[in-house]
Amino acid sequence: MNLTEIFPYVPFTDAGFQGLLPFMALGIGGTLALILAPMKNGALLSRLFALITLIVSAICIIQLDGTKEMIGGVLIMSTKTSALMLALHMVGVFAIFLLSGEEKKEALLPESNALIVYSICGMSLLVSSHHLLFQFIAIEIMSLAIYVLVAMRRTHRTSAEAGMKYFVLGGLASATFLYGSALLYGSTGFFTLPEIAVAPASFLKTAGFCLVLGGLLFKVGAVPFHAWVPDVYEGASLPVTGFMAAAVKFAAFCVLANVAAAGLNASTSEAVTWILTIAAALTMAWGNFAALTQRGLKRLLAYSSIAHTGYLLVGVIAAGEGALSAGAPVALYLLFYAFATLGAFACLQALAPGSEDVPMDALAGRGLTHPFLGLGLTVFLFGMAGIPMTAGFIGKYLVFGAGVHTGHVPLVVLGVLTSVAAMYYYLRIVVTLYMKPVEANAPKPVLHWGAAVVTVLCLMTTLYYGVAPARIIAFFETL
Amino acid sequence: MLTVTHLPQVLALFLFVVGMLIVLLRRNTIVLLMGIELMLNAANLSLVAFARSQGQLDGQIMVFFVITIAAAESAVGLSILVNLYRNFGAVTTDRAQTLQG
Repeated sequence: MNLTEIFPYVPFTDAGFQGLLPFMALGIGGTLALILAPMKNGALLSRLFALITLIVSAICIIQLDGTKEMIGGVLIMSTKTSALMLALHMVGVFAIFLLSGEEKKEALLPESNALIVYSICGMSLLVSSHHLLFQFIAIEIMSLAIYVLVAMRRTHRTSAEAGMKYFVLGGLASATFLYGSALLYGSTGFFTLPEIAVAPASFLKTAGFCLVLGGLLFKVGAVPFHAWVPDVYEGASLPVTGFMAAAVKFAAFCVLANVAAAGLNASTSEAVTWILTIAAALTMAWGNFAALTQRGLKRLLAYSSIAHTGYLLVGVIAAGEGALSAGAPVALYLLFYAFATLGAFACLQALAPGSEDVPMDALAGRGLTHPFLGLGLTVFLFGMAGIPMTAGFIGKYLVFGAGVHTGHVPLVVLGVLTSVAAMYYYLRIVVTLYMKPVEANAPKPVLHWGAAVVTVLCLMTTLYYGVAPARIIAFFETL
Repeated sequence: MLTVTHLPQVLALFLFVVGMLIVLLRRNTIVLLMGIELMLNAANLSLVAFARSQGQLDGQIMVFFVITIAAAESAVGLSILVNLYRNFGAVTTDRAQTLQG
């Protein structure tokens, strides 16, 4: 018996080496940013290094041509994964811009720039791997950085508590994912998803899929595994919350879509379909319902993010069951949602009076005194609500269209109805922005240049793709 | 039928369930971290036993990665725990309740 028979992960070739360059760049650059952070001018240096690292890594990704398989097919770099990784890098750059304005106000350490780079490295590994254990490692690289980012505000009690809650529940979810992959390995003899999908059915395989999906549903914040989302969003600082809502959800949904597609194509499809359908229905209903009663804007956006998880799950089911151009609707929805969320958090960052959750009254009348912020926040909220002429509408249209195409009409009806209910809490914010008088002793909004850049870019993309989405849809459908 | 080859799997399942119950029921966060370690090690045991019964090596090698990850995870967990103690003066979850799910 030779080595490759019992351990098929052969060392990478020259072609594979090129594919590993982005990950090496992220790892080395992140470490440099970490080393530079405690120095004099550390905040500036580490931010600069983190940005350079992300750009270098993005260039390495663009330079790749064709599909590359590395470490015995464990990591696959194709046009699709490259596009997803580039989107994640962009979110990372935006997050570093957002952090630059908040470091003093939120008592964040400069090391947070390095942590962003590390978590982007984990997310990039996550979207490019089809191997369950490498996905576990990637989830952990991503999550360990995020746990620290959440608990970073050391003097805030809410931050410490949110960090602990996220860590314990996240550890539970990771361990569940790992045990599920062990069961899948035991029942099929493979860790790679395509092979697991075609292996014969057994009780062990069904149980393994249930556990793996349970762990992933936690990471995306689906009901009934959603309890951490509002607490963590409230406890973390605004830029970190924006980063989590955009990037962590993006990466976790990419891997959930892969696993769900394997499960739905396999002989275990009935159990997997039931789990995903029930989770989608509960998530859409509860996320929107709970958001109606929230007072703080961070908690409101947390429940809104749970609701979006529900809509995305409909797309995941449709993609797994082989709707036209599988995966494109989910990827586009995630991209458009990422722009809307990052933009909304950039605006909130300027409008927030202190470092605790942003009360609704802090926005009163600000749409008239600060027209740019008001316009930005309005467009981003419309984007989340899915109002036509914004990118959010296109995303929702594609996801629900794919749902109808695969025959999940009840789920889509529920999705449309809950979207209408969601209009209430999005519009309530807009009404507060424009129709309430400014509070007498309210602190003035301060717009940092980083947040302004993010707002402008997100505003442009949200409006542009809302009006002219044809090219990006065509691009994602060819992947 | 249950045979000797199934024993490691039964033990792994037992450890996993015990770990999960600890995480869900206990109030002391240090014990919660121990519960997570127990769950990860249950998965490790399961992986090693499956790899052995299938005559493959990859399951066993992967366990090394998982052990490394578990070590990193407890380092991060303990530092978050120290932070929690500094803010609340306790490491039990019922003392740290300013946020409500």
